[in-house]
Amino acid sequence: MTFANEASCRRLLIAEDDIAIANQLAEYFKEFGYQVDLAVGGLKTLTKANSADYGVMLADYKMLGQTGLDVFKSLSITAPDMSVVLMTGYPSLDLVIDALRLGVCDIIVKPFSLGDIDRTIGNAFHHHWAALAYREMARKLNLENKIPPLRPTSAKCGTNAWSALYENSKGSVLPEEEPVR
Amino acid sequence: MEKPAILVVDDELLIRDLLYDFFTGQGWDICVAEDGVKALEILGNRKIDLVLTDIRMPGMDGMELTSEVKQNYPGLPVVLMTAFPSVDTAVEALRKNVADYVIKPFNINQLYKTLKAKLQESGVQ
Repeated sequence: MTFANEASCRRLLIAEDDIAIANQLAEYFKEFGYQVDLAVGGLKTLTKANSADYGVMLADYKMLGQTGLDVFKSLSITAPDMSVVLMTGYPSLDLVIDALRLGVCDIIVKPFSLGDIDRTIGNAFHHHWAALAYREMARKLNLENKIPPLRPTSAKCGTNAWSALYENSKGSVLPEEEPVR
Repeated sequence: MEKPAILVVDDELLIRDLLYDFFTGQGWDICVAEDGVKALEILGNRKIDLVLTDIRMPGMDGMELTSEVKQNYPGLPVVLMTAFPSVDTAVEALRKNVADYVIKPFNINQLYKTLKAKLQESGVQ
């Protein structure tokens, strides 16, 4: 698999209008070896997220211009392999159900502990790696156009999209890997 | 084409009967169970394309059933229903990767459309 070399593997975008919180989170995740960038406001976040390969975006729901969920909707088209975690201080049932239906990776309620956010972001990167592995396997089997996109909801458990890849791949043979020198 | 097989899990007989009658009328193959344990027995014995389950049930509830399904049948979509919606259960549902979270009382035609869409996403219909 080549996805382990992808730039996005440890690249995190934090979208948060409160600069103090954003900086604190950025420092924390840098300590763990993540490459972290910050964005402020919904529209700037969208531009920033599309400008580089991020594996995970941690976005506040309430931002200037666009909500974190609006940004996610746009990114699900332009960056479908990115895992998105929403932060909110005021979780409502409607918001959570919308996020579930759209395929947001996780929702974390403020205030949260560093342990909680650490686990959440770790899981989100695992979902992203699953999406990359899926795409890589589909590419090797020449099935990229014959399988459904790996939506975050399916990436989470490797479910429907992986099943479709499996069904479509019956009879296919993986090309031999180049030997590692 | 094979009929889609739906497993309906609810402790209320009235709801099970309503869903059985309506979905059977749409040409679907419906199995019913009154709790999570019975649902797992059915899943072990036959092919099911989608599980529609209530959350609050005696014995094994819908959340526990969802965990078992995701562990043992990872490609199988689960739709949760509840008359007691809350942010906590919705977040838990999101983390368990359920296909949808439906609030009771539901519009049965809308529920049918939702399930049909989920079956199409799974490549069943």
